[in-house]
This record gives sequence, C-alpha cells and structure tokens, in this order.
Amino acid sequence: MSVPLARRQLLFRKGRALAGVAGIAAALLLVLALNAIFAGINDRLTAYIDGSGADVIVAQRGVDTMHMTQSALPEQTATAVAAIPGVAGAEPILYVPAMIERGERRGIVYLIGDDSGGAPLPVATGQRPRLGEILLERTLAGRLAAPVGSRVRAFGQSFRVSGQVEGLASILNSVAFVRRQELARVLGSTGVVSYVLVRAQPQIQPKELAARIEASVPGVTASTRETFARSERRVVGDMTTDIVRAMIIVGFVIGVAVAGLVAYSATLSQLRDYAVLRTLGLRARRAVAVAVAQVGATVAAGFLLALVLAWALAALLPSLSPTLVLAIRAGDVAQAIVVAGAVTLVAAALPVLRIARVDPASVFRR
Amino acid sequence: MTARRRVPVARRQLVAEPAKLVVTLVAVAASVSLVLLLTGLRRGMGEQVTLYLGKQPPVLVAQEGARNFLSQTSILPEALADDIERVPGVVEATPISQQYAMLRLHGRPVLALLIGYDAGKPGGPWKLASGRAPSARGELVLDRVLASEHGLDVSSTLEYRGAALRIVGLSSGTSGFMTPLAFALRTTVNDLSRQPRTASFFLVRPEPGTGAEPLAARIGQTVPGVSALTRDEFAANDRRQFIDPFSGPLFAMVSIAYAVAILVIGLAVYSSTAERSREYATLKALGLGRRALFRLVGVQAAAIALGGTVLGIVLAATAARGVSAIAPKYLIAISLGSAAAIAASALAMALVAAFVPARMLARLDPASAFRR
Amino acid sequence: MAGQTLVRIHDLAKTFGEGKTRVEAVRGLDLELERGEIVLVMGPSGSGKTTFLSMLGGLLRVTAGEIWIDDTNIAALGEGELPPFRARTFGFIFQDFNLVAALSAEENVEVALNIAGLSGRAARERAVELLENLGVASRLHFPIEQLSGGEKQRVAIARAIANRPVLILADEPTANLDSHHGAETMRLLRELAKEEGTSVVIVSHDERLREVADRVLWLEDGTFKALHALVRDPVCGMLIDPDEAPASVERDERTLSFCSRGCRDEFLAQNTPQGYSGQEP
Repeated sequence: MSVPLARRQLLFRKGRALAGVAGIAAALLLVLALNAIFAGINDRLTAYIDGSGADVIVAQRGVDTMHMTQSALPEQTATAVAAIPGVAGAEPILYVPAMIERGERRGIVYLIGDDSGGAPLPVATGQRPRLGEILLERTLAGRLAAPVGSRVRAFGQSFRVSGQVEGLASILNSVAFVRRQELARVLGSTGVVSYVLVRAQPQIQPKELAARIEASVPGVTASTRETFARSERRVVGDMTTDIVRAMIIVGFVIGVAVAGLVAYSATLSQLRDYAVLRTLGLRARRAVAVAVAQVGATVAAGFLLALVLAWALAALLPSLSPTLVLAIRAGDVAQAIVVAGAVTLVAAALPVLRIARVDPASVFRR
Repeated sequence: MTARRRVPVARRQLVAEPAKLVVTLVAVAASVSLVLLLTGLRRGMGEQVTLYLGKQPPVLVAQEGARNFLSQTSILPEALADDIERVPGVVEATPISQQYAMLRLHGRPVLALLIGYDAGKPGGPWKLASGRAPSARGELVLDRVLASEHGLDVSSTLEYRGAALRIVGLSSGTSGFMTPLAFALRTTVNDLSRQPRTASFFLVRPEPGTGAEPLAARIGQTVPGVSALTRDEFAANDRRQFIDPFSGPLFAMVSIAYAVAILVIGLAVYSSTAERSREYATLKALGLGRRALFRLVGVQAAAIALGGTVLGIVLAATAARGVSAIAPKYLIAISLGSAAAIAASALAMALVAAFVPARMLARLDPASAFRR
Repeated sequence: MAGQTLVRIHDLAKTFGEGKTRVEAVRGLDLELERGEIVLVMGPSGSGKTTFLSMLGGLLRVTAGEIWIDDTNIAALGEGELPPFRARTFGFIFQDFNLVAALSAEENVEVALNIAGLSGRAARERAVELLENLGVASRLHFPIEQLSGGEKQRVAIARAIANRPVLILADEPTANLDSHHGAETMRLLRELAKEEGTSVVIVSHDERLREVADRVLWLEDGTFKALHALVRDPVCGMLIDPDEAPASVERDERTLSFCSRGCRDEFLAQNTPQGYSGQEP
C-alpha cells in the first residue's frame, strides 16, 4: 500500500499518540531503571577484586564471597600459600565493615587492611596510605568533606586521609584502605587475616592453581577470581530477583492499561474510517493489521523512548549522586522488549475484536 | 422553590464507556499500589533490620566509634563485662558476638545474621517453633522461614566457615528479607572467627528506675574504649543505614508512577472530552458557563483519581498480605499515614490531569454545535 | 455499449429479525439496469432504500433473490470474494462524503487505488490526474478538514471513479451541498454515465435529480413503483411530474404538461392562431 494508512491514522491525533508513547515509556522505564540500578550495584560489587590483580582468592573453608561475609585465616596461611609452586605472589588482607566518621558525618565502608596500600588499584589523588593513614573512596570523601590531608576516625582511632580512589563504590557500600598491621592491632585480632589474594605465574591456569592450593593448605577454600565474582553477584542477584519480577508485573499492567486505553480511544474514533475502507474493498484482515500496526508502533516508540531516557539517566545520575550507577545490560533490554511485545499483544486485542466486527454497511448510517 | 434534580452529566459521561473506565481505573490503581508497595517494602525492611535489637535490653555497649548494631565491626574483650557491671545503675552486662553469616545452602549463598550468646543468658532466641536452644558447641538455632525455604529442619547439618553446624531448633518471629536470624553459643561463633574470649556487644540491663540514656552516657564516660548507646539509638542508626541508600532509586520510581497516573487520568478525560466536543459545544451554546464546564471535567478527573486511588490502596493491602503469606521473609509495611497521603495526593493528581482537557473546553466554539 | 444490460436484480428480499420483531425491509424487488443508465430511487424514510443500496453494493447479505452484475451473482459470492469484487466493480458516493480525515485529498483517492491493487507512483499519478480533472488540483495535499463541501464531494467522486467502476452507487449525493455544487455533482454523474458508460444508481429525496435521471423509481413498503421522469412546462420552464400536472394538452400525439391552467391557456393562445379552442381538461 503506497498510502501509509497506519501512520496517518496514528499521527492524526498527535496528542493522544504522544500520551500513549509517554505512558508506555514510563512503564517500561520502571523495569529498565530498576534492572539498571541493580546491575550497577552488581558491577561495582566486584570492582575491588577485579582491579586487585588476583587470580585466586583464598578464604576460610566454605567461604567464596566478600560482602556481608566473615572469613578468618591464620596469618601463616599467606606464607604457606606463597610456597606453593605456581604462586607468583600471595597478599594477605583484612576485610571488615567499618564506620568512618568526620565530625558529625559518617559513612560505612569495607575497610581493607593490606600491605600495599591498595595496590595495584590506581590512586586518583594523593598517595597510598602509610601507618596512621587511610585511602578513601572519592564519593565518601566528598560526603564526609574529607580532602587529602584531613583526618577521619575509625574504631575510635584517628587517621590521616592520604589519598582517594575512584570507581569502587556503589550505593550500598564503599571501600577504604589502611595498613594491615594497624587494622589488626585496632581490632585486637593480630595473627588473623581475612583473605589471601594470590597472583598466578603465567604458565599455570587459575583453576588448577586453586585446586593445588586447596589440596596443600588445610581449612581453606580457594576460588578463581571468576568463580568468586560470580558468587558475589549471586548474592545481590538472589536478593533482588523477586523485586525485579514484581516490578515487571507492575510495569506490564501499567503498559497494557495505557496502551489499551489509547488503542481503545483510537479505535472508536477510527471505526467510521474502517467501515468506509471496507466498503472500498479493504479486507477485514488488512483492516485489523492497520489497527495492530498502530498499537505496535506506539509501543515500539514507547520502548525506544524508555531506552533513551534510561541512557540519559545513566549519564546524568552519577553526576548528581556518584554512587548511583546505572548499568544497562543487553539481557535486561531484551527482557524489556519481551514485556513490550506482551503489552502489544494484550492491548491490541480490544481494537482487533472491534474492527474485525465492523459492518461495512454502517457507512450509510448518519 | 423545591430542589431541582440536575442531570448528573459527569457521572453519565464516566459510565458511558465502562470498559474504558475500568482500564483507566486499573492503570491508576497499579501506579498507586506501586508507590505504596515500594514505600511499604522500604519501611518493612527497616522494621526487619531492627528485629533483633527490639527484643534486647535498653542499653548496648560496643567498641569505640561504633554507632550501629549492624554494618560495622565491633570487637571487645569479654572481660569488659566486669568493668561495665561496676558502673552504678548496671545490673547485668551480657556479652554477645554478632556477625553476618553467608551460609551456603544448596550451592547458593544465603545471608543470615548470626548471634552468638551465652546459654541461659539474654540475647538468644525469644520464641522457638520446634526443637531447643543450643547448649553445646556446633549447635545452631535457625529461623523457621529460612529453614523451610531451603528444606532444612531440626537435626539437619549445614557447613559454615569450615565447621559443621547441627540445627537443634527453629525460631519463629525471626524472619527477614536480608537478615533472618540464627543463634549459636558465643564460643562457637568466636571459634569460627578465630577471636576467642571476645564479644561484639554487651547487652546492659539497667536497675529499675534508671533511665537508658543517662546510663549509657555514664558507661561511656566511665569505661574507656567503648561506645555506649541506647538500644533505640542503635536501631535508628541501623534503619537509616539500610534505607538511605535506596532513597534515590525509590524517589525515581515513585515519580514515574505518579507521572503515569496523571497521564492516564488526563488521557481518559481528554479523550472523553474530545470525542464529545459536539455535545459540550451544544451545552455551551445552551448557556452552560465556563465554571460549570470546568467542574464537569474536574469532577470526572477527581472521580477517576479517587476511584483509582482507593482501588490501588486495596490492591496494595491485598498484595502485601498475599506476599507475607507466600513469601514471609518479605515485610511490606504500609502505614495508614502513607495511604492517607496518597489519597490526599489523588486530588492533586486530578487537578493536574484536568488541566489540558479544561483548556480545550475553554477554547471550544459553541457555534460548532451547528456544524455537521 | 448502450442497451447492454449490466444489472439484473431478481426477486430481491431482505428480512431483519425473527418472530415478533421480524421486519421485511425489501420484498421481491426486480430491476434491470443498462450500461450508462442513471436510475433514481426515491421514497419515504424507512422504505428500504438504504437496505436496497447496501445489498446492491455487496455490503449487506440478501435474504432471498439474486443480484447479477454482468455474469456475477453478488448474492452467491463468498465473504472473501466480496471485497476485491467491490473494489473493482463499484464506486460509492455518500451524503457525508465519508473521506478519511487522517489522509490528504490525494491520499483518499490513492488508497482506493491501493485497495484495488494499484500501488506506488502509478497510483499517485492517477489520483492526481483524477483530482485535476475534477478541478481540485489546488487542494491535493490539504487535509480533508480544510476543504469546502463542494471540494469534498469532488474528492469523493474522484475516489469513486478511480478504479473505473461499472456501477456507481450514490446515497444522497447532493444533500449536503448548496445548489451550485449540487448542480455540478449532477452534471458530473451525467457525464460519467453518458461518456464513460458507467451505470449510476442514486438514492435521494432531492427532486432536482429527476432532471438527470433516465428512470425514476419509487420504493415504498419494500417494492418499486415506477415514476415518470419530470418534464418541463413549455411556457414557464418549470419541472413537472406529468402524472400530477395541474393542466395538460394533447398535441401531435404527445402530452404536454403545464404547471397551471394559466400556462396552458397561454400556450394555447400562442399556438392556436384561430383563437381559443382548447378543451377543458
């Protein structure tokens, strides 16, 4: 058909078309944004491990996560692991949740006590921490108004801010670095470490090295970085699955309601046109196709608008709240497409039924 | 002059198309219930987070610098109990060791809050659904809901931090979405952490007639290296720590939901008005004034807004109850206050939504009633 | 071409409802229509005119009877065969014009061509040509709302003839037009019939259309009654129904009808040099 019938009908009432697109975009944006927020949290979850350069992470037996996890190993574990052939380096770390204070302001961090001052993660400003010093994540430093050189308190001790790191914090938690021996002293837990971060020599696969470590050192679980990260992400993933599912249902209902409302309105006002076209010889099937095309186009436009808005949010939000990172993943976009498709099918049902039943003889009615 | 019956034009317009009205109400209801469910979930999380604390004595002593019960580390020597008990006004100081426990159940990481307490002393489970409290090393009491979710029962074992823990009892009233509770002897927990003879907190029972706040202050001044706060202060800090991070996303979602509700109401009223512009033009030609016309539109919008809101509140309440029946670990606490606030905002929604259709009516030419 | 029978309607009937609510809208209609013939169907409201037109155009199923257009009996066509048949056989003209508001003037004609199978540039060019022939070339891309009544009817006519139909079905084509445009529409219909050989069936109350009709039928209580075509009063020029003429004169084996005795008297005075010797009616 050289006359773009569906397009003309849809755009004849621009206000209504726009309202439909906006409503559907909002419904889909709910789903996209929620997924993106959780994905953003997930990405940042493993930022430290990913940047630490560790190929294998050794933890207390039965432990393969870091967040909200307790792990305790005797200090000698690091030496024992270092002696294993294939190990290029074994760095012990303490990893504890802590409250950082400056005046009246407070923030929760995972406080990492290591022997390298946060290496190999890059320092954005300032220096790596020495004894009595602390390396803060930039967003927390901002919130505490704690620039390099200022002092903060943790566990009742005062620390000098030596520098800042970036990109390690999510909305749920932040990270900071101090010297391991100092942290052990403050906690009264000398002789204990939380994890040992292991670098593999180039000729050995991480998986094999992990198995070797578990076989050689008693009372530990050694995981490759990949396995460890996956386990970490599972924690958040499992917790948020139900919420995401619920949001999808709500988004679907709202999407169908908006699309249905617009389709219903449009169908009513176009009923006469369809009767005339049927009189001219348009088949019922084609008439229905035109109606469905309008619904489909509205939903598609709404989906695209939702994507654009999600991307805009992902670009803008971090400048307002630096830890509010949105990560738009292909899988989530695909999920939104499925929701949009389902919305189209359900919303199109009403106009389809109505238009299929149009009586061409009604053109003579005044 | 007797009161004359006036034709309920607005009502007639509304029910003229029942299918459209239903769809509109459903859309508004979905948006409203989303707002209530999200805020309710947030509130419920806050309540769950302070579940344990709520049952404990009114004052707690932690490591210096600690102001939360959860979310940060606190380690004190267990002998400190004697120093605390020497403070006037303190009857008993009970040590507990607390930690997040990332259990591995069926190959998945499952989070619980593990409390290590001394047998016979305060700090343990307050209600058992089955079994008994732990009395020996390696014994565990697990939250009933968490246990049933993962197919565990009394006498099941689970591995945690390399140790085999045996479930000897299931507790009730200890469920939580992020922090279901588990209880073991303090020595068990300390062994796992390789921190013998320590406590995370001391639960302080004051002498009758002693206020919690003054006692906490006194302990803080008397005992070195500690942070003594009331239980309520700890709870409030915990609640804030959990809820604050979600404020931003929550605000975004709620805004979108409101925008959708307003859009839907506006669309419904606008399309009704546009479809019947001939009739409205006729009414205008018959002398119906601007005010009356706006009122017509406004009443329709208000009716949809209120109807949808009431429906949304009912939907949310039902969903919340349904959720706690199907998945008791989630607590959706919808307060009367939030329901009332949303009902009040319904009118605001209606006003905004009626703006465009009202403007259209104002510009409508009465002469168009005569045109074909 | 003239003299060929295009439409043969035999014993056409339409009944609505059952039992107590049963209504016979059309009963036992017979009609034959030739190519290029213009038939005007008049009658009181509710007489079945619209029902008849709907059945003739394949828009309403017959209860009994046959409608032959050339060698096709519409009544026997299946649901799937009707639409393409309609597209190439009929042209419809409506009282309310029934143009699609969302399309421009040109697109309204083009879409009729699309439906019949012609698409793309060929369709567009033909649509433009038709509209130019009808004198609305300046309104090609205007939205329908901005056209006057007369312009809308011309677009509607262009749409009706786009697929070169053999039969045009018009429902009150002049009802919403002023006299100038009404006359123009009549002229166009006459041209179509006489120059293109298109048959035309018009359903209308408009007496003026009796001028262009070859035959006038009266449909009452579901059956036809033939009416004579209108004739002109030779003196004052008024159109009169010869059956109801107030005065008439037989002259040369023809009956002349007059609007009044006055005109008849004047005619006789002018045409009977010997003086008045007319007969009283």
